Amino acid sequence: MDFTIVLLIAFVTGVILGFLFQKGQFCMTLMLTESVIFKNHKRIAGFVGAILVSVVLFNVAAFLGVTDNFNLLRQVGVNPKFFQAPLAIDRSLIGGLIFGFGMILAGGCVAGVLFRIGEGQLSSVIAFFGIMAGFATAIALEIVGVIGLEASLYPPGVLLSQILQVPVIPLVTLTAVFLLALLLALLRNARSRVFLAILLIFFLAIVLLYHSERQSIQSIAPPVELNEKQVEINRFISSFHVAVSNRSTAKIVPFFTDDALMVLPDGRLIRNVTMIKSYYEKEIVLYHQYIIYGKVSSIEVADNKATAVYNSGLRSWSLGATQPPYIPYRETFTLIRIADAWKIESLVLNARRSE
Amino acid sequence: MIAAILIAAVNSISFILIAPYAPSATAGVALLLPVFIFSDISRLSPILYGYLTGSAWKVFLISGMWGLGTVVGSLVSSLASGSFRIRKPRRIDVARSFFGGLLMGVGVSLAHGCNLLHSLGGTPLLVPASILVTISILIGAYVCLKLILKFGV
Repeated sequence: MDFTIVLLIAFVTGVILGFLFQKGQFCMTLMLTESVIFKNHKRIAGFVGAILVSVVLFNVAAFLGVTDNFNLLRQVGVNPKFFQAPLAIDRSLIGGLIFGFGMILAGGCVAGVLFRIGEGQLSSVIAFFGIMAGFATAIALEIVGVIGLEASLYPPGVLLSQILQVPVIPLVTLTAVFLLALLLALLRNARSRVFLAILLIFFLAIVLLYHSERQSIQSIAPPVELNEKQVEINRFISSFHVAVSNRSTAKIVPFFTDDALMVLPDGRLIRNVTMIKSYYEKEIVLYHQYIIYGKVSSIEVADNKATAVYNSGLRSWSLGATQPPYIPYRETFTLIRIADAWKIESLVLNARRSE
Repeated sequence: MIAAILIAAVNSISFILIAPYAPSATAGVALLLPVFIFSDISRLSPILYGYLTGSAWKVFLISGMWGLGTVVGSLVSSLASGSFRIRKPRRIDVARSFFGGLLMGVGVSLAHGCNLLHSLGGTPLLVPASILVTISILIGAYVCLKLILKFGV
């Protein structure tokens, strides 16, 4: 796909949306003003309706794989999940509050400003320049250090269902029902008590969903009971996983004995610690970020030798990927106790099927 | 109401196809500035670094075209319905618009996207940050409206 064609499509969708924005006077400032001052909830109901339709369409499209297969951005070499903001709670909250404040003062949200420029509103042109100045201000503040660096709890692209650990389809259905209830309540000019009730039911439903999902996970995999020595081994292996996740070879290397062995899933054999170091150095730069999950399968401890089998997985993501690829594998550690500290004598990695 | 549903439909298609990032035409210009000033941007902001080193300029260009299209579309619509008219603002409105725009720009940079991106692009996919931003935008706007009603700025 040619980049020019993508630009053209962007322009055409922009024109259609601009036309609709102007016809429907789609602007968050306008609808909030009408709702708060004139108690006319028609517009905000329209907004909720738009989100509702988007929820259904987006998720159906994502479910059918349309988002992955027909995305034009990917074909011109852009990560299509670019626009999914990372969850940095302080930045999102403060940024949203400042934005909402400015939106009312400027007399239009970004969509409102754009379509009012087309209508010939000169104050919107000034607001547009204000937005540009705001960007420059924010970057200047970031350079000076007033605004801190990104401190994201989760990597960019992690969705709510992944954080709450609930299945996607019930969550989306629940959200759609919630939005529908909100829409009906808004159209009927319901009292605020009704809105609170809807919100409460929504949260209760999510808690229930979360609870039931927890129980089903627990019933599938009973927790492995570990004795004192096994706990020690488990702690050692966990700290090894953390070291690998931290992407620091300086932290990884002390875990191995000098003549340690490593067998990779494709059968390659890596001898001694310098080769292991260079292996991890190469592996680490492959991904933007990754985390290793390890689940104990079995641990056997003798006096100063131990064997541990882990069902592990590598979850990696490049910037903005929605569904980080999950690479499951089995790790078999042979450990040896040297001078009161455990070391990895050999590590065998086997591919395994994802459960 | 019907317009809103139509907007949602077209919006979904455009988000699925090209994922526009409405203010990023301006963002592109502003984000490129520090690259010329500071070459080592990876230290400054990893996310910004990711945007700039990747093919983010293409995203900015696409979004810029999208924004331009929006302006043209509303121009066509208002010319067709005869509502187009150059409206000169009062002096107080100029100051208010500029200051409001400034706050919006800072907010967009902090929250990684405008209300359109978050409420119609992120919330439908249940991106947690987008839900949070949408709610806090509503709260911020409500507080500002109440303050204006009370003090009558």
